[in-house]
Order: sequence, then structure tokens, then C-alpha cells
Amino acid sequence: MSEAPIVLSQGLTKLFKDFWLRDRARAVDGINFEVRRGEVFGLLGPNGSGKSTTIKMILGLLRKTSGRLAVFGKSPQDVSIKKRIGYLPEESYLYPFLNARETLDYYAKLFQLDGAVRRRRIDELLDMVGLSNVQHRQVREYSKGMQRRIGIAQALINDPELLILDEPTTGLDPIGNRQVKDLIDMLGRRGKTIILSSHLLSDVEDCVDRLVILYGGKIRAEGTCDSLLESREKVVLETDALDPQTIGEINGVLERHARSHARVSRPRQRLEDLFIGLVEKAQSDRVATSGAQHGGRTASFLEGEAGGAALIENLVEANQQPAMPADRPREAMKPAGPDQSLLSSLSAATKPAAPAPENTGAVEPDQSVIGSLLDGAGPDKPKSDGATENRGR
Amino acid sequence: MNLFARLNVLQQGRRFKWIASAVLVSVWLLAMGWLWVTANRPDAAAGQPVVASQSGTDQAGVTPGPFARFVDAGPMTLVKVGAETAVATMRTPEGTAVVAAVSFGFVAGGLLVIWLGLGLSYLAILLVGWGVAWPLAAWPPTARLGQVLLGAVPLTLAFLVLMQALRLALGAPIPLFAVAKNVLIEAVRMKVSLVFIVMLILMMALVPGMLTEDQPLRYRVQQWLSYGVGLSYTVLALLTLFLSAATVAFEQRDRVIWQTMTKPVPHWQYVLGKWVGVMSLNAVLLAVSSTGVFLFTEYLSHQRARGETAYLVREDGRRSHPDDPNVRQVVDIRMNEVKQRIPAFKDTPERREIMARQVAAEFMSEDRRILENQVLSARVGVRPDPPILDEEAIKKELDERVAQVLADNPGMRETRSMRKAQEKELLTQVFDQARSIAPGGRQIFVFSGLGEVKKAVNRGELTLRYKINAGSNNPSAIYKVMFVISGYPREVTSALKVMNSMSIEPEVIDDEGKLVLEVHSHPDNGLTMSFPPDGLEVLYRVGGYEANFFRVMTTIWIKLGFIAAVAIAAATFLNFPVACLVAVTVLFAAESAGFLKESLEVFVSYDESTKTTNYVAVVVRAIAVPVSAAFERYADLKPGTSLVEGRLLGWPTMIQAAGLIGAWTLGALTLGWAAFRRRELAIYSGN
Repeated sequence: MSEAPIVLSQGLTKLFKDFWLRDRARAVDGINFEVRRGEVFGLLGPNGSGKSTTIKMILGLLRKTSGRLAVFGKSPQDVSIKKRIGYLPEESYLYPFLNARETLDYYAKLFQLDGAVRRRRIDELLDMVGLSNVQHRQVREYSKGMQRRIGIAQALINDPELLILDEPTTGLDPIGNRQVKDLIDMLGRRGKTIILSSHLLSDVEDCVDRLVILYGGKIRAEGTCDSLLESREKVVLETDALDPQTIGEINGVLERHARSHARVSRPRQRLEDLFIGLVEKAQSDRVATSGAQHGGRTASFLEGEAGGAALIENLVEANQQPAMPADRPREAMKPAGPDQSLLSSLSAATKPAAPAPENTGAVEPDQSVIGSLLDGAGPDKPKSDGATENRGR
Repeated sequence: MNLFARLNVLQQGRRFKWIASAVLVSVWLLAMGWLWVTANRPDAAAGQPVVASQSGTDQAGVTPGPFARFVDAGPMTLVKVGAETAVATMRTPEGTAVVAAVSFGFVAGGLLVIWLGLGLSYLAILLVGWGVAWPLAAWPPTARLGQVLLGAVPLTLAFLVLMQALRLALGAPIPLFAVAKNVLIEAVRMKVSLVFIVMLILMMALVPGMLTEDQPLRYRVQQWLSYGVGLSYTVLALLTLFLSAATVAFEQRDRVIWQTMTKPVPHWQYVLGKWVGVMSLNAVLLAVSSTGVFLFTEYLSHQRARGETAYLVREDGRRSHPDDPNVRQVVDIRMNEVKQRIPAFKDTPERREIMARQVAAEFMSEDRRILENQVLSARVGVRPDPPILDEEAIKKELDERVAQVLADNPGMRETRSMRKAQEKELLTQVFDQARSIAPGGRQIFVFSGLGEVKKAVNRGELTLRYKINAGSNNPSAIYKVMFVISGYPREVTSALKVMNSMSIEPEVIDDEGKLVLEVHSHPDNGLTMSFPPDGLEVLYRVGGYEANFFRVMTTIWIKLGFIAAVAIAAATFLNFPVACLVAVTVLFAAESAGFLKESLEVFVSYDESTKTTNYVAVVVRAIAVPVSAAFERYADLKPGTSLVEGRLLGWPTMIQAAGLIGAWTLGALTLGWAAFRRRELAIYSGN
């Protein structure tokens, strides 16, 4: 018999109502998933897709409308299970008047840790997040990144079995970012269960064992990174160096079978590509979402009476001209399709040029969704280079 | 790390604590040695004030120089007086042991401060606070300000040490305590609460300067008690209200609560923890302010009263202190008289002590006597016996009235409630009439149950309190009234609607424990005068004000507990401004329930004359009647007034109040817990 999952969700639904008890938004819509012991589980989705709502239901901060949700086999409202959970919210919600040490001491006391354990853990955690030297400064004087580090430390104070990280790398510098990934990796090796929700696809791709992708409160994809990212349309054949004759023979064989590629393996696509593909599919299926939609036309008052679009386009063009590679025509940078807005094209143009997706579908990517997903990974942030290195554990 | 943080870390360190303790104990030993040597110097036998000569201020007739004035203005006076007293005490047998024990008490206090991790904070406040206050106090134009600061320093130190002790007490790793401790830290570090705390401490230090010395001492003491206690309650009530609402509402608004409530914290511990935190802070602040009020009351009561040249020294040179030889002489004479009259009477030191106090009281100036008997005391009031009613006559009159109402309103049927209303109206009229006197008329009032007062040896004196009403209480009208108490007439004049008091000797109580008061209204009085229901009372002393003071402060703390519970409960599901509004409304309704009740008696929904129903009044009454009924007891409890009027707020009253208000507090907290438990914290209504 398999071990009971740490989190079990069956038909989980959350309906927000307004003051008059009318349905306002269906944030989560009958989702099924389970988080197994010792795995790093990713929750992905664009803004308003229901990931945070799901996490808050797991934590008991929100109540489910229907369905079943069990954490450690109990209701999320059960106080006893919270001893085993560590939580890092998407922003650092800390008491501004406490200093770092007092903050950790406060949370440690909520777990009823005795004095010696408390002191040792606080020292170690402060050291780990690099705040030992500023531990007596009030949190309100901290930078966002420093507050984030305290947030991470408090989430670990009880050495939790289940760690829930909501956008853990937001606001962290590249080193902090790396440390968090290493931490997740290390905790994963120690057999901790981690639920990771992130907009930074590279974070998720690097860390998670299994993931679900949500859109409009529904699960659009679920599985391991490998199974989801494996491209079934291509085969890559890798051998030692071949002489031209052998290559010619292989090509001949491939031509006879109407194939023209020369790598024989199952290459992985990038998570970003998979994600965008799923979101586009959901949009083309007209799946309702209570979250952000892709951008529409620019508000007419912004465009001016006439020629506004042309004006903005010229400005964009002028701005981008020097950075544009000479061998890439401008048209290639612009998303095709009649409904793509001018601002979307602006957003696409300002992003570093990404390699063209290998599984180009009929539908062009929704650039506003990409924009929202790439928000945290600006030019100064480490960005996935699209490598499909499998993180063996 | 900034300097303050570094110093804080330093004073918390074990090494600092040991070194500071060693320094303190060494200073104490040196001081003891010096005092002992001074006390045992050969010239000490002459009894010269050895220490005092250093400042040269107490040689009679010598005007103190600027330096001496400077020394006298500051805390050095305390050191000087302390040293003088210590040297004098050490010259008595066992005096050295007494001084060693008392001074070790101070050293123990110092060690406590050091080991609470406040050594440097104390030193800094003492040096800076008194360093600034001292020169200000020595320079006449800023003397008042300097005195305020001098007073604020010990209050601040007391606040600090109590807060630190409380933090340690709440240090256990239990969610309830952790939440409570967090409230304490929040209150001190968040500026709004700090403003209230500083305001309270400064006000306490400021008020004494507002008391003018040209009025009798009893009024000054009364005024001080009224300001001190009233101010403490008002400031603390506001602080409680805002802090309670803020600490819960802002945590939800700022989502800080997410990280607390995703830890193993039961909802009840969170709500109760907040309440415990606020009430702990209140306990500390109330302890500090009441210590300030008490100590200054003591200081004030030891000042010269009207008719005195110094404390307890009358203008004729008589000392009204129980230890005075003149007083003791009178005690000897009286004791001998009693022993001759009653051979079985035992002459014990306790009885002599009681008699000495009684004789001393007789020697007191009027101002002092009233202060001791009517202000700094705990008195119980007796109201006149209700008039004996002729049941038959009442029933007959009631029947007639009911019949009249039915005759006036055809179609109306006699109901129980209608009869009860008529009965109530009739009895009110009868009682009002029993307290009314027409010009030239008279009325007799009997006060029963005073037998114990007559028998008591240390009975002090009785006070008759009276308030006269007439017509619409013309403020310029003066009424002449003659009180005949057990045959002794006393004529008084009084403005209307003003509370007056008059001293009466306990001898006027008859053997049955009754006091008979005959009141004559002068024929020149324009209208029929009357005493309102609370306008005629005989008060007698049952104890000193010290225990009463403690109970009054405890009752105030209990009332604050209710305010805190209401504000916390409201903030569990409302945002900050709305929660404050709800709490203010409840507080206002509770405090004004007595007034509300009086107002409702005339605010009727049915107008007899026009036979119409005012539906707005129906709604208002539907809300106001239960509110006034619910909070009637709360409103009746006026701890501050009890203290100012020198009335007893006994243990039974206090325990009753604790039970009643405690039950409401528990109810409010339960309501808050239920609302909080059902609440989805990730949705905030205030957003």
C-alpha cells in the first residue's frame, strides 16, 4: 500500500462571494492533485490562476467551498498539523517593530520550542541567511531582500516536514536566489516535502520533481518535469564523430523515410514553451479565468486621435534600433496575429531574444502572459538558458 | 548596529551584569562604612547634623547661596536627607542594623534592575533626565518645568523596570504569552502608543504644578486625586481602545497575521494573548500612575494646612500628632477617667494608640480635620429611612388613579403593567413629597443603623451631605435652612443644586443607633424646597484611604479590561476605524448608562395629551432601554468619585464589579474568538 500523501486535493473548489453573497469569482475549480512525501512539488500558473488561493486553503487561511482537502490527513484548519508546516508568503509580512532575532524568537515560541533549541536555531538561521551582523536592527529598516531572508528563516524555524514557498526568490539578489535553490535542493535531499509556487519558470524547472500548471482555477497539466517537457515530435541521435560517408548513408535512410533531422534522441523543450503553449491552448478553448487576461488594444486615449499607434511604434523602433541584430528582420520580432497589441510588441521587443521554440504551433504566444511570467527575471536576474539539464536526485 | 543597540546588547550581557553588581555592592559597602564612621565620630554626640553642614542650608536664618540652592533643587536633596536620616538612625540602638537592612533593600532593587538588563538604561535616564531637570529646577523661571522632569524620571524608571519584568514573565514559549509579549513591545515601539505613555507620565508630573497654594489643603488634595485618577483613567481608556483595535486590525490589514496563524496557534490563544498583552501594559501603566498619585497625595497631605504653621502644628503652637507629649498627656488623663468609671477596663497600648489618634484629631485645625475625615478616608453613607407608608391608603389611592385612567380612556382595559406603572408613579410622588418642605415648613428624617458608629472608639466624626433643589434651580437663589440634629439647631444658607457638607459629632446618635434630623425651610425661601434622592446622606468613616485607593485602582483596571475586550472583539472582524467606533460607542453607552436611564424616564413614546405615538421614540427606546439596563451597574461604579469623595469602595463592591464586568469581558472575548475563528484571514474586509 502506498504512503498517504502529505496534501490531498479532490475536486477542490473555491468560490469568492461579494458582500451580497453573489458569486464573484471561481478562483479554484475542482482541482485534483496530491503532494507526496519527500517531493518538491511545483505550482505554476499566470496571475489569478488559483495557485495562491490553493496554497492559502492548504494553510487554512481560506476555507474551501467544496471538494476535499487534507493536509497530513487532517483538515487544514486543524491546529496540530501546523507544527509540521513552514510557510513563506509571497511577500514578507513581518512585525516592523521587532528586530531579526526577536522576530525569529517570536515565531519559535509559537512552536513552543524551548530556550536552548530556540537560541541555537536562531543563531544558525541568522547565519544561514546572512543577517547575523544586523540581527539587532528593526525589520522596518531592512531592505526588501533582507526582509525576504528573515521570511525564509522564520519558515524554517520549526524544521518543517512540509515547506510551502510562495515566490521564494522574489526580491533576492542572484546570490540569495542561488542559495534558495540550493536550500530547496538540500531540504529535498533530506526528505522534506516542498510546495513551490513561482512565476520564475527557471526556479521551478531547476527545483521541482512534479508540477501542476493552473489556469482559470483548473489544472491544465500535471506530471514530472521530465514527462511534461519531453518532446515527442523529435528524436535526437547522438554518436561519436561520423565520417561524411556514414552521415550520407544515415541521411539517405532518413530521406527514404521522409525525415530530415540528424539528432537521434528525445529532446526536452523549455518549461517556458510548455507553459505558454498550455496557456494559449486554454485561451483558445475560451477557459474562463478570474485572473489577468492578456493585453487587449491600447486604450484609445493613450493612442491619441489618429496616428497614435504609428507614433508609439516609431518611438519603439527608434529605441530598439541599435540593439537589434542586423540579420534578424524586425517582422520576426513582432508577434503575428491581428489581435496583438502594440504594447505587447513593445514588451516582446524589450525582452532578450530567445531561441525560437522548436515546437512552433499554429498559435503565436500571448506576449502579455509571457511578460507577466518574466517580470521577476529582468536582465539583471539569472535566466534559464533553456538548457534541459535534468536535476537528478 | 547603532550605538543604542550595542549598549542594549552590552547591558544584557552576563559580564556587564556581574561587573555592575560588583560596583553597586562596593559602593553600598563604602557608603555604609562612611555612614558608620560619621555616626560614631566623637563630635557626633553633640547631635549636630553632620552631613547637612556640607551644603550649609539648614543653619537657621542663613539664606541659601546659589550653589546651595542648586543642590537643594535637585535629587542631591534626597541623598542628603537620606544620609542625615541614616546617620541619626545609626546613633540609636540597633540603628545600624535598620539602616543596613533598609539600604540593602535599595541595593537589591538596583541588582534587580541590573539583572533585568536595564543597568545602562537606568544610568542613562538618571544622568540625562536629572542632568537636564536639575539646572532647570534650580533656576526660578524654569523651576516648574524642572520639577515636572524631576518627577517624570522616577516614573519612567518605574515604567521601564515593570515592563522588563513583565516581558520576562511572559517569556515562556507558549503562543498566548508570545502574542501578549509582542503587544507590549508593539505598544512601546509603535509611536502612537508611546505618545499615550509619555503623555500619561508627563501629565502625572505636570498636574501637581497646577494646584494653587492659596486654597485650603483639603481642596488641593481632592483636586489632585480627581485629576490624577481621572487623567489616568481617561488616558488609559483611550490607549486601551486604540491599542487593542490597532494590534488586531492592523495585523490583518498588513497580513502579518498570516505568518502567525499558519503556526500552531489556537484562535483562542491569539485573542486572549492580545487581551493579556493590553491588560499587562495597563497594569504597568496603572501601577506607575497610581504610585505617582499615591506618593504625591502623601506628600501633599504632609504640607501645611489652613490654620497650621507646619504639618500638624497649629497656629497656637499645639501639635496634633499622636506622639506629641501634649496629646499623650491628654490621653493619660482620659484613660485614668475611664479606668475610674469602669474598673474592668484594660489599659492596653493599642487602646492608647487609638485614643492618641482621636485626641490628635481633636487638636487638628479645621482644614486638617476635614482632610483627614472627609477626603483621606473611606466612608460609608446612610440615606434617611423611607417614609412609613400606609398600605391601605396607598392601595386606595392607586385604585382611584387606575379608575381615573380607565375613565379617561374608553376602550382601555386594566392590565398588570398599567397598574404597575401607576403604582410606580404614585410611590415616586409620595417619596418626593417626603423629601419636600414648603417655605416655613419642616420635615423629619431618621437615619438608622448607626449603632456601630456610636460604639466605635476610633469613629472620627460624621458628615452630613445635602443638596437642595427648588423649582427650576435658579442659580442665583440662596435658601436658608435650619438643621436640628438631636435638638441642636444649626442654620445654613445654600445655593441650589450644590452639594454641601457639615460635620456632626457622633454623640448625636441615640442609643438605638438612630440619628434624627429635623429640617426647617425658612419662610423667606421662595419655593418649596426638596432634597433629590441622593441629596441627603450621613457619612461615617470606616477606614483610611490607602486600601480604598488600591481597590479603586483595581476597579479601574477591571473596567479597562472590558474596554480592551470590546475593542479586540470588534477588530477581529472590522477594520481599525470601524472597530474604534464600535468600541467608543460601547464605552460611551456604558459610561453614560446612568444619565441615559434618567433621560429615558422623560423620553416617552406615547404622548398622553395628544394621544399619539412617536414611532422614532419607540425605536430609540427599544435600543436605549436595554442598553441602559445592561450597563446600569457599570455606570454606577465610579471608582474615581469614590476616592475623591472619600467614600468606601469595599471589597464586596469590588468583587461584585469584577464578577459582573469580568463576565462581560469574557462574553466580548468569546464573541471575538467566534468571529475570528470563522474569519478567512486571507480576505480582508478593510481592503
